[in-house]
Amino acid sequence: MKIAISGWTRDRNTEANVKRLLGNYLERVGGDYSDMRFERMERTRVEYRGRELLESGSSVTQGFVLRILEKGGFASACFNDGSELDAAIRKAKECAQSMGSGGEMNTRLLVPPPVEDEIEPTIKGDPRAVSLEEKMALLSSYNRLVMASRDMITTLAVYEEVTRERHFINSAGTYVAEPLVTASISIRMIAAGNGVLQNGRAVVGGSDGFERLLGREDVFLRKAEIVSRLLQARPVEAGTYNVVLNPEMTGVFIHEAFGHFSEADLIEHNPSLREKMNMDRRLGCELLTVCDDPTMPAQIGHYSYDDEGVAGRRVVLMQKGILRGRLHSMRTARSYGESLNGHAIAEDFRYPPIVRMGCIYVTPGDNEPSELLDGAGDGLYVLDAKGGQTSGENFTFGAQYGYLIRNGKSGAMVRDINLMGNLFETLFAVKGVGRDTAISEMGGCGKGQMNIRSAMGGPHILIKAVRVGGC
Amino acid sequence: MEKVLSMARGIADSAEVYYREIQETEIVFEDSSPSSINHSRRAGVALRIRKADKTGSSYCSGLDDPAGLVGRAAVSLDAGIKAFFTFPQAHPAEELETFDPEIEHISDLQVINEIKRICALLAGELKGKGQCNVTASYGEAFFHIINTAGLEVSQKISFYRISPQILFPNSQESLRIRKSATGFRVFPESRLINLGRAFLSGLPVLDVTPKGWDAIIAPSAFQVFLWRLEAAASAASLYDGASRLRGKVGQKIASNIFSLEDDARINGNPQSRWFDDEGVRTRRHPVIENGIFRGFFSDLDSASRLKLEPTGHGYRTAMWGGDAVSLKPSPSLSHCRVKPGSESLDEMIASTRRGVLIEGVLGAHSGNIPNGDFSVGMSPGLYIENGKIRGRLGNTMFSGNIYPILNKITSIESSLHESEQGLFPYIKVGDVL
Repeated sequence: MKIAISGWTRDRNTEANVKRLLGNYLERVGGDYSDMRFERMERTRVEYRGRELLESGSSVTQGFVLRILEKGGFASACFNDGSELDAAIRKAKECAQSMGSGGEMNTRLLVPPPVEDEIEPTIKGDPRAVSLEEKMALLSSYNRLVMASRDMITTLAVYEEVTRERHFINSAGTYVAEPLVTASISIRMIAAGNGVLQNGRAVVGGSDGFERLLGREDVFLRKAEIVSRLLQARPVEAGTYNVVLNPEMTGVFIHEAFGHFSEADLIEHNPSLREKMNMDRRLGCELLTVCDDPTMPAQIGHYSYDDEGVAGRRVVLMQKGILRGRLHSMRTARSYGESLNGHAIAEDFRYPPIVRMGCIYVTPGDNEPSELLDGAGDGLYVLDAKGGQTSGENFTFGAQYGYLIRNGKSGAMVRDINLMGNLFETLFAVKGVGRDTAISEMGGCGKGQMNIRSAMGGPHILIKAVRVGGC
Repeated sequence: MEKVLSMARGIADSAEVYYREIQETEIVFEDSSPSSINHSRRAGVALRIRKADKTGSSYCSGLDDPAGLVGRAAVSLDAGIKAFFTFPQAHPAEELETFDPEIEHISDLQVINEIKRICALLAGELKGKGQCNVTASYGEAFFHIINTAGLEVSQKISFYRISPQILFPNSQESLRIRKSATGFRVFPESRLINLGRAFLSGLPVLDVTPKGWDAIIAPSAFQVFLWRLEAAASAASLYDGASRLRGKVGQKIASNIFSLEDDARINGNPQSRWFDDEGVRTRRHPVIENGIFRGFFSDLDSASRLKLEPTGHGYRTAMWGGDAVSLKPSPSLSHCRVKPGSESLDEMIASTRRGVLIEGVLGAHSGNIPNGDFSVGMSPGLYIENGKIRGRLGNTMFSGNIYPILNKITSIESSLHESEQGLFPYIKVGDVL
């Protein structure tokens, strides 16, 4: 009853075997609704710290996620091997019954019509076909460039390639198989001088293959130069500033400031926030239109089906400042009485899916970036994300570096920039949206589970009166 | 595991097999209603091999494909990764009280009923002014390491964790407390009542701007300091030349009332371990004693590079989680404890003329961690005036560098509270806001 993991090659026979096995497994589950996801995950990682190679190789893991809905109780069981199926069914049923009868859980699901589909990813240069030696050579060449840069003392340079071979089946008759292939190169760099340490990170990556990673020396050299210049930069003074965000910062801003509240599960059980997020409510200025589209090709978050076997689709979340859409799982769509849009994603086979952003972005506006700097007058131009977080209406997001703006012109470099805002105020303070746009090559979101494929982006934007913490 | 080790011996001079198995059930209630239940049973195996001065590694989910595991480690070995460390020798087994057989008898209903009791009690305290969420999990874990140097160590752990949380209106800003043990425990009513009272006192949102105020940093906000200290006190950072504490062993870096240690050997603590993820015996490691920096903590690799004795801090962990077997061991402070002081939290608040009780932060991971800089949003920051909490601050930041601030610690609470990386008291810092 096992799915063998040695010598796996993805072909028609394998697909048919997995589909048949999962079908047999699911027949034993019962319940009002059940589904099962099987994943085989292959991860290749090469890592240099400074000039030294620390890790190089590939490994394979696998697992199942079983979900059962029974009399209102909805439970999941995650396990590694098919031989554990009976125990997992027993435990998942126990959990569902405990929550249904003892906890008075009353879950209902919006189950879509059955679909059978097997997706092949669109890839330019399949990274799985590239030798480990070539991957090491590429990473090493970028790392050497950075280490040779002025003031650089160390790096953490990582090539990471993750393939999630996903197979999903449910009791309504759906079977979907879709591999998700992600490849990226990330270099964290630390420079020392002037009595301080400064750091930064440059990333190239996506879901469209190995070719994207080639010939990207400029990305890493540019960031190494910036990190070196940060040693001479002054910390920004804490205060309130008009800020211009570059596309990467716009992505993090919209992800933290608004995106999480578009995830229906985050506010599903928070009545006060749910009321504030009623559809058609004005939440931002007229300039602001926000979408999430996991089907957008090439970007790191691309997928066709989510981890509930629901087709992903583009959702207009905010149109000219008005709340128009929300991201859903089968459970939240039913709870809100809204349409499915395929945004239930799990980190991997260790977790059941939760509602996640796929690729959230602000749509381009009419301004040239230089016009936004003009519009800021005196303020800050902040660039390249350094993490963000939200706690309901408040959010923070950090920048790797910035420049003071004086009379509409970008001036001295500043560091230690963290911005804070409030969902119900800051989106009204957006005063200009650039005509340029870019989706970040670095995904990532740590809502409960890590999602390396959560993508974000947009154009330059101007926001008035943002609180900035110094150091 | 023996089969894997034996096969690995065929291609390498020495090898280590790490096995980890965790069974866990997690139950979540939001707004006092059931929200999710998930059971998981996860296993993983990691192999490290060494041949001459090179090393390689691989991992997988189970022990059913030893040839695949060893074959992938061999490919990794061929990459030419220089090996600095050797696998530890055998050492006698030790007993830590980390497993309670009663864990096998916990039922989901028992936990659900305890959550319902907590929700009902808090609802009585809050009178409709806040919402109660509770997350509970229970289960057991097993760690087993063998190597070709003759080491064989294993440990069984049982755990029950529960964390009640009260959310402020229109927000996910919250006050949260937690309790963990090796088996089921009834959550103390007094702590829930105190949580409810703290929440009610923080309900009004105030528009005041801090200036020259004191800060009382809660255990849940201490991660801002801990992550930066951890980065600096790691032997790996020292080796890289990226530690702010380089050359500072024996020097004063904090107020003399501040002591921080890492101790993985506390009986009854489900996190306790008598060996780390490399099989090295754990021991109490003072990081800062009475304000003096005492030394770097290490895993096998960083200790070997620096020609130091490993301190038993090689764990397969990372800031953002991940499958433990997929992470190579790195120096990590996983069992921290700040030495308690002499005042109660009530006394610390009562002696504050103007200040903020920082119960949580946003963006602890942002900023220049190697340099010790931070700039975080308070989430929430409870405003104290003339010895009483008056409400909470909206949209307020706390920023600076941890090293000057560690020297401004004026008092430390006499009790310790659980947080993700250990046990911490409330810590008061003068004139920092």
